[in-house]
Amino acid sequence: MKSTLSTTYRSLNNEMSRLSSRLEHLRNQAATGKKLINPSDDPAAIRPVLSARSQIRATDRFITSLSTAGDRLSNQDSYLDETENLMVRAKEVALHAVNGSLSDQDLQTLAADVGYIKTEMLGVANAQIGGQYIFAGYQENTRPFVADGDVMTYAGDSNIKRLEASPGEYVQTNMPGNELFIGQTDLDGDGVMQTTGYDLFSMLTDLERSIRGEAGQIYNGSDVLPTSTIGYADSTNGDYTPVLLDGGAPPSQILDNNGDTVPLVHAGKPVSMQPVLKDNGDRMTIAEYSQKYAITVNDIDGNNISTSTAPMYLHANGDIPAFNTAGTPILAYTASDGTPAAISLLNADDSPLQLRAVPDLQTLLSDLENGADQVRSKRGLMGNNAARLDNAKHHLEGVRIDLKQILGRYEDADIIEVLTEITKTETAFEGALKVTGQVSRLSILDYM
Amino acid sequence: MSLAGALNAGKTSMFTNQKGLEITGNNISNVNTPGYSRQKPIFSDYPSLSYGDLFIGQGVKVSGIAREYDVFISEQLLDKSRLLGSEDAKQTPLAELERVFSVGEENLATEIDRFFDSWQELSANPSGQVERDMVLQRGEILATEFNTISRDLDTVSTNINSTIKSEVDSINLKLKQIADLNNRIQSIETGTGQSANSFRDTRDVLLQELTYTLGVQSFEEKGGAVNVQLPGGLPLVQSGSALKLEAVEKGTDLSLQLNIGGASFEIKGKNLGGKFSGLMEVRDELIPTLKQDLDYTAYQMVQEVNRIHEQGNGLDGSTGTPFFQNPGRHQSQTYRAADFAGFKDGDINITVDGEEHTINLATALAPATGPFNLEQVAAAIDGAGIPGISSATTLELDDGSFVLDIQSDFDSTNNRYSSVSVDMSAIADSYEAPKFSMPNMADLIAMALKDPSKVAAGSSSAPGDNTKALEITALKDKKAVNGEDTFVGFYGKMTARVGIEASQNRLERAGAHNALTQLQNMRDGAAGVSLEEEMIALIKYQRGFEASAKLLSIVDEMMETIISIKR
Repeated sequence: MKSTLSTTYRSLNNEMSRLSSRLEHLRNQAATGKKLINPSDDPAAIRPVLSARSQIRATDRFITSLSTAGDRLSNQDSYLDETENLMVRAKEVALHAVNGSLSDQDLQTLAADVGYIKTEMLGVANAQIGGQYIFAGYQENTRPFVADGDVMTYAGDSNIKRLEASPGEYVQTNMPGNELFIGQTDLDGDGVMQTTGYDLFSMLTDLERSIRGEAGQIYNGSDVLPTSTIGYADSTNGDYTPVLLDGGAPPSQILDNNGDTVPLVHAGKPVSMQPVLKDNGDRMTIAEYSQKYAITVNDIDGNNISTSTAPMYLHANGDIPAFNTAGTPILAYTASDGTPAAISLLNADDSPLQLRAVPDLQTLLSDLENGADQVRSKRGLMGNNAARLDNAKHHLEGVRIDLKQILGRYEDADIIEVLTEITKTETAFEGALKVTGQVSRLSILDYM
Repeated sequence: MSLAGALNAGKTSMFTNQKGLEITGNNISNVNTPGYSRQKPIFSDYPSLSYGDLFIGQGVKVSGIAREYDVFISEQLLDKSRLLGSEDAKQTPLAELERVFSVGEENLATEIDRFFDSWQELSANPSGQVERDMVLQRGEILATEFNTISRDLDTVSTNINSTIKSEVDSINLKLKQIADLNNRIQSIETGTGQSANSFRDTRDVLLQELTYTLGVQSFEEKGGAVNVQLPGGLPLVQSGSALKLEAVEKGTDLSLQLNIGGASFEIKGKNLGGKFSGLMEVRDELIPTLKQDLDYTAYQMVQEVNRIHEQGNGLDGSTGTPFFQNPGRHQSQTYRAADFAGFKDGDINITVDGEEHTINLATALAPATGPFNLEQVAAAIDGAGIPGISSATTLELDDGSFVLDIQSDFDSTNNRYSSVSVDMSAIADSYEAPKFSMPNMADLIAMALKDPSKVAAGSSSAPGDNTKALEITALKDKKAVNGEDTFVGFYGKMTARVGIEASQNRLERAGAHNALTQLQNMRDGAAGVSLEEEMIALIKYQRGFEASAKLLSIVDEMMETIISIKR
């Protein structure tokens, strides 16, 4: 086979365009530092690269979230610390008061001291970080604790805010105020909280009153204790509301018309009622409640009042109270003459009663310790969460480095190799150019 | 033989050597003409005359001009042109697709990540205005990214169509030229017995070009004419007459037609080769698959995000608000027949605007018993009269396959379609259970939500509730596409498909290109013009000419000698 001018030039041309496109590719790699520039460069690497990038981005976000959560937790911790200190202080005051050798004047001072502690506690419970209430569950724009006389209303909810700390792992970043301060949790998710711990505010009110010497009295959130007759509850006159509470000495409780004491306890505990709320915060009616939980609500006489549009109430432990025919919750008792009687558990303005009997100081001392323990255990829980966040963050930072390595392995060019390759290709290209030049120099025409 | 005879022989020699010189000159002139085959004179001597006992030659003549030609290599060249044409054609659209499905820092996967990332940010501060605005913006950008890719894919198809359209005229011209050349070659070769060398060369070049663009097959008839036909056997050139290709536009679609007599045939698929088959393959196979996948990804994204979002509450207490606009129709994958009983009895679960409806096939279609066909399934859904679903039918597609098509009601007061999700996994039998998507979803995906306070971060309107934001964030790692891939993973799959296609194209193109160069070199080796060879031939003919001239001058001297005898 002969070699003609066009075959020579065609071959040279071909070779040079191959070399120059290879050179361009290599130079691109060197300039970008990446070997995966187009999908066709390495189709098999695309998925690992995309997923590594996606994970790195997620890890970055997780690390930021974790830092935010960590800040929040450490802020919260200082408030929890403060709460614990307040409880310890309250106990010190109580120990002091139980001493017995104090004058009335001294006792009043100590009681006032407890009042201050309570106010401080309220300040802590309504603490804000970045304009958001930290002990309000999801209701971070609502002031969670509102004092109405001695009744403390919790306006937050019992929801726990979680953040994704690492893929699929969620960490609690808040402590809802109800668990911490009033010892109640919504165990069954029906919007009504059940008593699961100690109510710190009531405890402090009890302490204040007890120091003042009001042990045994019943109160429902009035600053000034009533001294007149507390009212009657008798079967002849119908249901009475014990709005007026007796502050006399010895303290008289609610009396029936025979002058006998009406016990104001439910299941051995002070009476505490709560309205049932819907998701949107509106009150749920008896009809809605009985439909939602498929429960028949009867009045005290056994009539079905499941369709009543009166508001639904529950006891603090979740029990359904007894209702009268009008759908008002009542406390049934047997009067001293043996007839069944009942008193209404609603205030004059239809808000539920939180009736408490003031305990004596001795009982309060152990309760105070329990209350402090409640704060400590919650603080410990949040401390554990903070530690977990910290660990997770360290772990993620390690993961991030690993991921970057994986990503690099798939998409980064080995610069040394690329540079060597460039030199090699350039040499070959130079050779091709030289040959092309020389081919034209060698011609039969020069010899004729 | 006389001196005059010798003079005559010298004359023929001078003529032939001159002819040889002319042919060599022509070869040299055409050294760079593509497709030119080297020509060479065929010398033969005049018949000898007998002088007494002796036969004496009468000189030389050029009996023909031959063209150096190798059928085997020519056939090979056509074959490789066909392959190179197909691979060359794919290069441009594939490069464009590689740009669309990029692996750079900015691509659809990045936007998907950023979208979920914004939800995660929202989960850290669910009542934040900035975070809520971010979620809306990221959603908007994500929708736009889907739209852009979908439109880019359409653009690639449109570009392919214009390429095809612009080539058709030149193809028709070439077909006509071949037919003309056939006529000329036939008339020259049958009349004179000579070979129509240059016409054949031109025709070979045209054939190679046609093979490259259209992948035609050709074979030579007895008379020297070449018949050209499409790979599927449809004729294009028969002897002296050429048919015409026509590009027919139907909306945005373009098809090729061949008009034979009164009938017209659509040319596609196996009927094409070369460049056109490469272009059509990208347009009709790769791009539709990518588009379908993209639509499915967009559909799943909308369904998954909306499903969670509609359960949640905005800060203003709103609920049931879709995040993206709900798809208006839900189309299953294709089935070969609508009346084949490929589904077994089972429950179909349809969730419309958060309300679940269950249809039991056997109950709905009683007294018919299973297995059921696609039409019955459609009838069962249609007959259930679920509020929010306006119709369920079977549709026949252009290619003769069937799909199940469910249309949602349009709620004109809220300006949205009802949210419909259908689970038919229980009825899969010999047919796969219908899985739904919506054609052109990637092009149509758009935000429904504009008001940041309606972003449903939680299951209640409480400002600190982040449960739904967390749920939507978790979609990032959910195998939401086909139940096998995450959104990002599926994008990776699509990109890898483009990548594999492009890298294979690069390999095959390089291979075909090398092979073609090799063959062209071989052809040139056999039939090309080598300057060295021509120069030597030049010397040869020059010397021949000189020798003949010398002969003539000697004969002349001899004649003078004879004339001078008588003085």
